[in-house]
This record gives sequence, C-alpha cells and structure tokens, in this order.
Amino acid sequence: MPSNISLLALVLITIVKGAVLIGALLMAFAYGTWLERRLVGRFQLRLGPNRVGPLGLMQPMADGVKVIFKEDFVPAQADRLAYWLAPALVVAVALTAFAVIPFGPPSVKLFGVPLFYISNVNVGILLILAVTSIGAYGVILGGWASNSKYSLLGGLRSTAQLISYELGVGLAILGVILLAGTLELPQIVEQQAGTWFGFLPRWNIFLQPLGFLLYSIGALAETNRAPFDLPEAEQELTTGYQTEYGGMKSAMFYMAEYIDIVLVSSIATLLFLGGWQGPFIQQLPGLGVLWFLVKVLAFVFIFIWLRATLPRIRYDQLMDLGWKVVLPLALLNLLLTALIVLIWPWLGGGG
Amino acid sequence: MEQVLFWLMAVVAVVSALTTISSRRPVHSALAFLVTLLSLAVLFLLLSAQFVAVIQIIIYAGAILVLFLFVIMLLNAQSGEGPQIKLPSQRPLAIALALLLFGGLSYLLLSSPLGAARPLPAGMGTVQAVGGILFNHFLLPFEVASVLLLVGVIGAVVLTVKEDEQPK
Amino acid sequence: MGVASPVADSPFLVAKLEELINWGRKHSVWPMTFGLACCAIEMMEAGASRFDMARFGMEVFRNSPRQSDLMIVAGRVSQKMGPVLKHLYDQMLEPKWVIAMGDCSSSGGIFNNYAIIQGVDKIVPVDVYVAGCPPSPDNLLYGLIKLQGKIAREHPLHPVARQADLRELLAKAS
Repeated sequence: MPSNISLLALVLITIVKGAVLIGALLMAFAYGTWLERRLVGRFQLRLGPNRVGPLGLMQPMADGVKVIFKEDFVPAQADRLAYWLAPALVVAVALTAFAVIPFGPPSVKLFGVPLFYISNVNVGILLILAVTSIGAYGVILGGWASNSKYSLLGGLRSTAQLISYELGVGLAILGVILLAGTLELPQIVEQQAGTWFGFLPRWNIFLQPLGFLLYSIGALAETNRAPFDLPEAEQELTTGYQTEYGGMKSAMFYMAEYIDIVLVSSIATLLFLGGWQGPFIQQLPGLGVLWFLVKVLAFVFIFIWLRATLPRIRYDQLMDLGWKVVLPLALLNLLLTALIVLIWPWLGGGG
Repeated sequence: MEQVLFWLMAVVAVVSALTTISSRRPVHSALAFLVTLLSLAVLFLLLSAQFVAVIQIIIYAGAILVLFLFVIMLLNAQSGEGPQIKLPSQRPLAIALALLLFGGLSYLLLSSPLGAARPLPAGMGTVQAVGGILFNHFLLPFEVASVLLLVGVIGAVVLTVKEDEQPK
Repeated sequence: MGVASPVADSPFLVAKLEELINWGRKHSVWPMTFGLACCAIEMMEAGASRFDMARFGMEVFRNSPRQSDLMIVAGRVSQKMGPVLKHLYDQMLEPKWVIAMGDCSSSGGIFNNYAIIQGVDKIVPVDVYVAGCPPSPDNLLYGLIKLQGKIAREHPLHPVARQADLRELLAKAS
C-alpha cells in the first residue's frame, strides 16, 4: 500500500475503479450476447440480428428492456430466499473474481496506485479459484429452490460437472505456477516478457501446451458452454436449473455465464498467452490493455466457434472425459513440469 | 479499520453459526454455515494468514459444503423434523459438555500470555512461508496425512462397489 | 407498475416510457420451442439461413415457457394436446403472445373431425393468424412483423386505455 496517499483516497480510487470495471463487464455481457448471435448467424450462413440499430447493435438494449419489464415470478412452494439468492450469488461471484485480474502493466499508475488492476494479493490465482468455487452454490440453490424436478436434476448435474472439472483446471494451472514460482498474476505475466530465439514470444503456452489444452477443456466445462452445456440440455431437462427462472432472474444467470466466459478467457490470457505483453509495450505501457483485450477476444471467439461447431456430448462421456482423461493428463503434466523445472530451473522465471 | 472488520465479521460468524443450529430447514442451515465459513476466512485474512483463508474457502465452502447440500437435496429433507428416537439424557449431557469445553477454552485463553502481541515476521502466512514450513519442518506429518487421505479415497471406492457386482 | 393515473400527472414521461417498453418488447420476441405438426418444419425453415428470423431478434427459441414471450402454435392441436398447450401457455410469463400458424391451428383446417380442436383460439387467446397449409416461412415472417406492429400499439402502463382503443376499433369495424 503506498504511504504517500491517505487511506480515504485509496478507498475512493478503488471504489471508482471497481464501478468502472463492473460497468465494463456488464457491457461485455450485453455485447457478448450480440457477438455470439451475430457470429453463430454467420457460421450458419445467416445474417443474425441486424434490424435494431446499425448492425443490430441495439439488440442487447431491446432484450434488456424487454427482460426488465417481464412479469416477476416465483413458483408455487418455492423456497423464496434461495430462489432470490441464487441468481444474485452467481453474478456477484463472477464480478468479484475480477478484483485480482490485471488488465495492463503495473507500471501505469494513477495517483500512485496501479491503474489497471484493483488489487494484487499474494495468493492471486488461488483467490480466483476460491471465489469461483462459490458460484456452484448459485447453480445448486437455483435448481433446488425452484421446486421442480427438471431444475433439481439440472442443478445436481451442473454442480457435479463443476466440481469434477475444477480438479483438472486447478492441476493445469499448477503447471504454470510451478514454472513461475509465484501466485501473483502481474508477476506471472512479467515473466513472460521477451522472446525465445528472437522471434517466438516467451509465452507459457509454448512451455505448457498440454496444460493450455487441458485448461481450455476445463474452462469450457466450468462455464457450461457447448459442447459441455449439459446442465441446460433441452431434450432432457428443458433448461436445467434455470427452467423455472424467467425475466430478469434468468437474465442474471446469462449475465454470470458471459462474465464467466470473459473471466476464464482473461485467466487463459494471463497464464498462457502472456497477458498484456506485445509489441511496443516498452515504449507505450498503456498499449498493454489493447493487447490484453485482443487476446481475450480471440479466446471468446474460439468459445463461440466451438459452440457453432461441436454437438453436445453425453453425460457419461462428460464424466469419463473429466475423470479418466483430463485429470490423469493434468497429473502427468504436473509431474513432467516439476521434473523439467528441477533439471532446468532457468526455464521458468521463478527458478 | 481492522477493528471494525473484526467485530463485524465476529458478529456475523456467531449469528450465522447460531442460525445453523437453530434453523428448521436443512438447506437454510447449510447456507448459514456457508456464511460462517466465509466470515471465518475474512478473520484469517485479518490475521494475515492469506493462504489459510483461501484454502478455507476452496476446501470447506467450495467442496465439502456443496457435498452436504447434495446429500440434503437428494434425501429431500425439507420438512426438517428431527429423528424420532431421542436419547433421554442427551440435552443435559450436551449442555454440561459444552460448558466444560467453554470453561477449558476460557481458562487456556486467559492463562496464555496474550497481552503482548509480537510483530509478525515479514512474509508470514504467505504461500511461500506455509510451503517452506510444511515441507521442511513438518514433512513426516504431511506425508502421513496424505497417506491417510489416500486410504479414505480407496475406502470410498471399495464401499461403492457392491460385492456381487464386478467392477467394470 | 405503480402508476395510478399517469395521464393526469405527467403524460409526456409515461408516453415515452411506454414507447421504450414497446420498442424493447417488439424487437425481442423470443418464441418457445414448440412444434406440433408439418407447420413446425416451416417454422424451423423460418429460422434457417434463407429466411432467418434472427434478423428481427427472434431466433432465441427458449426451451422453458418461463423465458419465452411467444407461442407459435405450429400445427393441428388434438383434443389430447389441448390441455398440454393450455398448461404451457399458463406457464409463460406476462406479457405473452400467441400466433396460430397454419389453417389447422387457426380453424381446424382440413381436419374437420372429432379428434382435432377446431381452432386453437378456443383455448388460448390468439394475436395473429397465419394462413396457409402449411404457410411458407415468408408467410410466418409476415405474421411476426404484424405481431411487432401489434406490440408497438399496446399500452403496457395503463391497460384501461387499451380497452378504450379496443372499443374504438370495434366501433370502426361495425
């Protein structure tokens, strides 16, 4: 904590930064839906929404207005507390995790505090894992509180999926942490500066290709995106744990889903794709935010591409993949990384 | 600032713990227990034990309590009626034991030299510090604990496979 | 809404808010995944690449009635399907609209017999009838655009005025 400004000023700056970040994330949600609908349209040789505003850019606003003025509804004999809590919890959790995501280099400062992240804690990446693990409650509570069989089954399924793939994701991330020797996200990114052999960026994806692949699979499953969107498999479960949610409450589940997509894309960018590192970053540090956003957008694009391409897999296949493929491979990756770091400590930044 | 946070979190922890044991609906009890765990994590943070705080959330709130909720929902224990058979001397015995525990803890707390708080060594409670202590000073207990967990995992697998049924 | 006598207090604001609500509703009509017969094939075609309902923001076919705004009754409704259809309609949240797609759901069509409900408007209120057996996708699109126009004329903040409008329309018609 810098000592040359008062505590009050620090709190004020943090609040303003948080408000700006939340606003940006809500816009990212709105235009995430627009991007997905336009892109899926293109993938299916359609046009996608284009009548509301130029290029259909006002479509998310129309959807938002409609959803806000929909009937407010609670099913009969539902547990009202849990029914209301569930959507609020998932959104709050998704937003909270962004508190430790650095969007740009820490050298860019405003009033003596780094501009591009809200806080840098010693346990950075672990904190994100901890906060997102709370998100499972929103899903399971939403499924239970609705007093509907579809919802309950969808909630149980979804939670089982979340817990199963959390292991694989955690172990895949551990490989990067072993290389870096730290849990602080800004430091992990700083260690990915420079190039190998003069042309290849020194990103962790080239040291941890298997880890990156496993993380991507786990991230798809954790955000309940196709081909792992079993919780809302419409043939069997209507819409899974969201079945009895309508109007703004169901929109909040979608909000959490899209913010989670941005979150896992950000983590992938920070851990594997060099975060804000890119050309001309030394001369103009503010440019880092642009590189960061470009990489995150590329990852989001791949998410949407996969959704338009792959069919949904069966539930037993999902569990087999999680426990019999992703988990053992992640363990293998961890062992190999530990061995390599032991032999050539200079490969990672931590040593 | 830290004083305010401490008192706030302490009150939240105690109130939610009381809700846990007094709520009639099991799911509400589990939710109240979640609040207790989270406020305890904040208290750990105030003691600059960052690693313990995060692990508390990941393990207890993120995994174990979710399994509790699974069990509650699958058994569909909504009404919250207690077990029919009650031990006759259960309540007085429980009160006596609780008082005994409270007294012992109070005695230990009051007799310990709490007054002079020593300044923390730099970097205490960080991941590096916890890892260093765990793998240098407490290596044997750590390994024994991991073997114990492995035994637990194997036991769970053995229990789920029925005897007449060949494992696939 | 909590607006008791909106016109007397501040008609300007209320009119604008109504326009905003209607604008949002009309551009974001999410249909329910619900097909009954051959008309459903044409309904799918309307969502596919050649006709593309998505242009009007209508491609979001929701699986749960709680999240959908529009029920397209695509096909004949048998006596056994009637209660199911009514149940699904009741589960949808207000505001909701119904399109009777094709002759069968509009009037029974060629199935003039005991097994088929002679027009779905016997059990749910229908907003737009689309003629044809089956209607081609552009017929359905025309019906959807008609529905958009109908939504734009609604008064979500004071339903009394809506009744007055209806009376006026009825007077004109007779």
